[in-house]
Amino acid sequence: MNILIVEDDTRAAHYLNKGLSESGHQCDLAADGETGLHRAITGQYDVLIVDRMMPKLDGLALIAAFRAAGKTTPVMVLSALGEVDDRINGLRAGGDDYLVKPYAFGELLARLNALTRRAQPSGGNPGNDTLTVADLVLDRNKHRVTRAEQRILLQPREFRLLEYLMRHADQVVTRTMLLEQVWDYHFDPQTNVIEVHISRLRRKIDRDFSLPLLHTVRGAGYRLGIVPED
Amino acid sequence: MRLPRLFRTTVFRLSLMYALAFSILTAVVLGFVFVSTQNYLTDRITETLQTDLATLLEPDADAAESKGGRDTHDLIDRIKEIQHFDRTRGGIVALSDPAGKILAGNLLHWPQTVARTDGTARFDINDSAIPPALRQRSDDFDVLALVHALPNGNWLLVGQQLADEEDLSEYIGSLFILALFLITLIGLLGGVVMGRAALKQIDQIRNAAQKIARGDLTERLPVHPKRRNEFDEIAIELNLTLDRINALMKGMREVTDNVAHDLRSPLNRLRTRLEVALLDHRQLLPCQNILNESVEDLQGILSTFNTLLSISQAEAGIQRIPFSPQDLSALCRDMGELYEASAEEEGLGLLTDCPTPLRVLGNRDLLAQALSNLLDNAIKYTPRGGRITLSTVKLDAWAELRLCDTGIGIPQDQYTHVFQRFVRLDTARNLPGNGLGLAQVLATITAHRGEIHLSDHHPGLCVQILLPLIPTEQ
Repeated sequence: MNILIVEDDTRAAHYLNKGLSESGHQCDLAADGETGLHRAITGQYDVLIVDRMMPKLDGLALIAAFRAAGKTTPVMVLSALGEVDDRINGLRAGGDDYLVKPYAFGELLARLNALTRRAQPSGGNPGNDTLTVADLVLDRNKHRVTRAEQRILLQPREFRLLEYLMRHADQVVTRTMLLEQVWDYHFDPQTNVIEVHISRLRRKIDRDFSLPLLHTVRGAGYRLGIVPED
Repeated sequence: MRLPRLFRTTVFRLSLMYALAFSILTAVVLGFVFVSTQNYLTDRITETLQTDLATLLEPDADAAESKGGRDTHDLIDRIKEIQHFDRTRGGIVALSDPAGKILAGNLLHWPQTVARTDGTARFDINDSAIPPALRQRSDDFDVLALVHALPNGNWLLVGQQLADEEDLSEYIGSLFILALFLITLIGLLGGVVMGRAALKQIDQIRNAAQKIARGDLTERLPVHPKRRNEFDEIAIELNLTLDRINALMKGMREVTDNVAHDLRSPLNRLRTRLEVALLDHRQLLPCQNILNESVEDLQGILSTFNTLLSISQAEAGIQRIPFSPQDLSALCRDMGELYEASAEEEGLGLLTDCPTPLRVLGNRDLLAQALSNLLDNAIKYTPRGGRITLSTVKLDAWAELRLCDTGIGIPQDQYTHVFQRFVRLDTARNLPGNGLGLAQVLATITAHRGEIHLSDHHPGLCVQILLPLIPTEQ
């Protein structure tokens, strides 16, 4: 991916750049809002990472101006402001996702992947009513899941969980992403409630089959796919 | 130094304005009374004079001659008669011929300032027509007179010296001025007294406020136990504010202490581990382990940190958090579903019974976080085979949420203690947790203007939460 990082904290930007480059992405850096906006409008990027509080032009103003210029590139907002309404303001200004500092790098990476996947319909076929990963098939219309032609009975929530995982097949999906997208909660549970739901789902889709599809990615989250990453 | 401040007080200014308005009103009323009295007196005297005149001109019953009136001689006699027994009353009578020559009466000549026309007249006692012996007193006063033209061309004048009447008027007048003066004075004095009383109370409040400003947050503004005037009302309100500020400050201090303990220990562990790793040049193998452990430590620190932030957010109150109508029952069913799997995994039955929609004003994420903390606790502290019930019900104007478990419970004397930050009971020390869960719950419920109560479930714990329902239109 081509990524523009607009961040005034140069050390943070440097580490971000390093981490993203090691994950196979190309990064450009801008240290203030004005430069960032200029680069964002003139350059070709797959995703923008924008810090909220910056000199010259703050992050939200940058995003608003960027959107006003007719650009639809997904934007990830980073902020040290973690208050409930800040997230809402960030999304309202035209951001596509919002991460509060300090965040786990794995979380950022997973969310960037999810953002670009959403922006490029070719990968996950979101318009399609049938999702397929290996021999696992989810039919949204019939509300039906089969693996190797065998019917799998799922609770409504398990169905939504699987649907989200299949839409983001081969991508790492973090626990907070699942809590946000499947349950619509934006908070940090003390214990790992999501883990239990994942193991239940895994029992239903993986236990009776030789090839496991739902993998746990250590320290990051889960991935649905044929081949485990590590 | 003190007086100018007094003059600036609102109470004093108001009193001054009232005193002024009152004085003007009193002056108008008294002036009216004074003028009316004067007129009344003059009218009465005029009436007497008219009677006198009528008596003088009355036809004599003895001499009922065909002349139809009295002749001049008769009149002169009558005048002399009246004069004889009317020496001290200050009465004046005079009969003059058309030329002004006095034919009878006690005047020396026709008074200079009185025209010879029918009607009343007023002239000064110093008129040379009045012989000094006739004067009631030596000072200056007026004479009121009635002038009457007789058919034969002569003029008759009856009058009255007004020494007594003018005395009375002057006396009444001076009384009125005195009254006016006293009323103004009392008004001003009242203003001063009330202004000083207000100033005294304000000074007390100011002194207390200065102590508070110097940092003594336990100081409270003085409130009179019975009086309850507007200053007391304000003082009571401000004292409540101070109570809240003090509680928040105290909380902050405790948090600082606890943060120092609960964040410094893992931070120190982290640092030591990394430093030791740096010292050890040759031992390259456990590097991955050290990094993993460090990330885990950091994760713990960040989670504590985030919970603290979330608590202070909730404590900052309603104005900083977006609130919207929420169905508490739906939220409970949702959370019950989220946690059901976890409970089952621990061998516990989680029963959710929230049938009726209960609309409360709140923040979904904060309420969910609070509920999640409570469910976490219930699952953590209930042994296998236990039961957890989550139920909601309408209780008058409140939405009641009950979460009961069959776990180890909390000793009754610890019910308030457990809501403080970083408090972990001895029974919980060996289980994971940061001691912030219930503090977050309390902060959230308080921000939602609700109440939380703990009770014994024999065995286990019952948490009761009351949130105000949104009043329905009907």
